[in-house]
Amino acid sequence: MSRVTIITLLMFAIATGLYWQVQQKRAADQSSADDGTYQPDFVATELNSRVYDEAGNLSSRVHADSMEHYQALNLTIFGAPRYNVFPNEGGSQWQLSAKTGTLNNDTQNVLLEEGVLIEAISPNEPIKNITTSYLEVDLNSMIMTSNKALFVEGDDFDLTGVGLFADLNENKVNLLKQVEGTYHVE
Amino acid sequence: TSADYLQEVKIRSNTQSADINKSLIIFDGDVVVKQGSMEIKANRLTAQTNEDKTAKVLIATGQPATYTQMMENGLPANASANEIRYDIASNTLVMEGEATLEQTGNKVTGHQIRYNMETQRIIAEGSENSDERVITILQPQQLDHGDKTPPQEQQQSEEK
Repeated sequence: MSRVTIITLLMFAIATGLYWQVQQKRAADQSSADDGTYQPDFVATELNSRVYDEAGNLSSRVHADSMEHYQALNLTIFGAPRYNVFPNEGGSQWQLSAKTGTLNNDTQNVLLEEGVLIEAISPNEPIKNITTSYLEVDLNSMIMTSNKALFVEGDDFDLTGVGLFADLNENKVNLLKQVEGTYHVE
Repeated sequence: TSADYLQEVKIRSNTQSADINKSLIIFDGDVVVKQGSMEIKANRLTAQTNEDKTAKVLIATGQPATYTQMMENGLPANASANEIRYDIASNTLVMEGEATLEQTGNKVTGHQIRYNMETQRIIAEGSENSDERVITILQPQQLDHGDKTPPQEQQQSEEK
């Protein structure tokens, strides 16, 4: 066996050993994440927070019974969050509430889950509220989406459907599938 | 059961979009509107509410949009047109564009047909800008009785 072959085999053995070690470490990290040993960096109860846009207008206000912030993941998890948003250049106001909410601070996307209620706060909105089990809200573009069943209650009508695309700045609400509506005749 | 026009209006479609600023709701794709025995089928339905929410108009469009309803005398009325406009508050149906309405054996065709669903009376109008006239086709038995026998007086339903 020539010297070159021996050196090659040696290098190969070292590389394999290093790779094996890296895999072991990654597996260890993964298992610690899996059994939920991520600890929140800070927690709060009865949280009230306000977010302003560049022009200084109040763009959203959130109240939550509980809050946990995870710096590494840049995620904030809320218990019973109540978001008030002011789209349409402050022309309308909606309140979004749910059992739990997860805010991705990078994208400003909030996922609301379980008992999601979207209420029109401004008085003369023909749509009064929308209920569903799951909602994604982009707090920057004020676009709300869902792939679940929804119930829309209006002044003198209600609608059910599956799937939502709503642009609160444009004040447009679209149900995507299996739409059924009822108009109450006075 | 109470008269059709007093019942809830049920709508089914593939998709729906609401323009809240314009108080406009649009139902698209295989649209079916039902109110008692009345049924309208269309490709698209627009539901428009006026400012003070006193009038709501459903506009069905299709190739054609169709309407059917059971009359008080138990016979069906059928209609079709490019656009069927149903004003819920005044119980008026306005069919426009190749409009035809068949009721108790006679058939009316014209550009626009106006029909009151409460009294079940037709007010047919031809359109001024084309030479399309209103054509009424009476079935033979209508001719035997001389002029058309008016539909029997339906019983007085309670005032809204």
